Amino acid sequence: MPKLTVGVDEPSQHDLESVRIWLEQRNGNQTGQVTPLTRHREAQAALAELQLGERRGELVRAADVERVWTETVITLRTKLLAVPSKLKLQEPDVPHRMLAAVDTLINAALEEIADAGAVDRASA
Amino acid sequence: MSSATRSFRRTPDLVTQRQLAERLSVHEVTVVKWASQGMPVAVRGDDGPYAVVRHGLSPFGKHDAMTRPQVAQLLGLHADSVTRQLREGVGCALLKFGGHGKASVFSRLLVSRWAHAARCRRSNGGPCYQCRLVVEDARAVAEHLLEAGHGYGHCTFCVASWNLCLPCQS
Repeated sequence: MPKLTVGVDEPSQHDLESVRIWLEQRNGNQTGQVTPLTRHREAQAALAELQLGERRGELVRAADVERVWTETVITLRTKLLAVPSKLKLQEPDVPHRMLAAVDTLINAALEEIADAGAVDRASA
Repeated sequence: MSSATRSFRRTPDLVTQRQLAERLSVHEVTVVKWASQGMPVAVRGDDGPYAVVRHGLSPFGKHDAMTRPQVAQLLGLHADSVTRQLREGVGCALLKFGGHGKASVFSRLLVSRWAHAARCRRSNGGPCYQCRLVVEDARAVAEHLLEAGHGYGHCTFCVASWNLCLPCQS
């Protein structure tokens, strides 16, 4: 082993207990940090949970929900817009003024729903 | 005063920088680095570094020395990656700096010590406490050697006259 040539006259002194506490605190801080590996594992666990829920039937894909809802809403709008025409077919005596009023009310209702949907999407 | 109300004050167990390094199985330079990072120091004094008289290239024996390509082979890396990872901890094993046609010389024992500690995954997929200490020690020594420009064991800060922790290979 190498030989120390010069002695130290007045070396620094450390309190073992204080050093032990400092090292433990530092170690705790280091281990408490969220590492990329931890984040990766958490993401993997969340993904596995979602897949399990989907297989159990508790969860459905957002894209599937959107597709079904879009079809439903378009059908609903078409049926509602056809109400004045069907009314005229069933009741030929209904005056045009009345039909125009029904048509206006349905359009206003649809526009109100469309505006509310746009506000919801913007705030989301 | 009754014994119930008497308060006792703990007598501080003071040790020198060298003794602390020996107890924690690290080099003195690591303790110096901790002190600069906020570790409490009871009494500040003069700790060196002081030069060391060395016999032979490596303090661990004449068969301990190896070149950079040999280090690369041992670690399964390219020789340039060894140079790149000097500050990561491999540099702690530099016994002699190369350059100008001369090869750098590394210590096999110190390279293995760092490599095993860096690969430790015993604590929740990460290194255990002792291996983390070894890696930190290796980085501190590597930084010291690269800044001081001398090989391992040329001053009191980067030599250990006590047993160093050698991580298990499991």
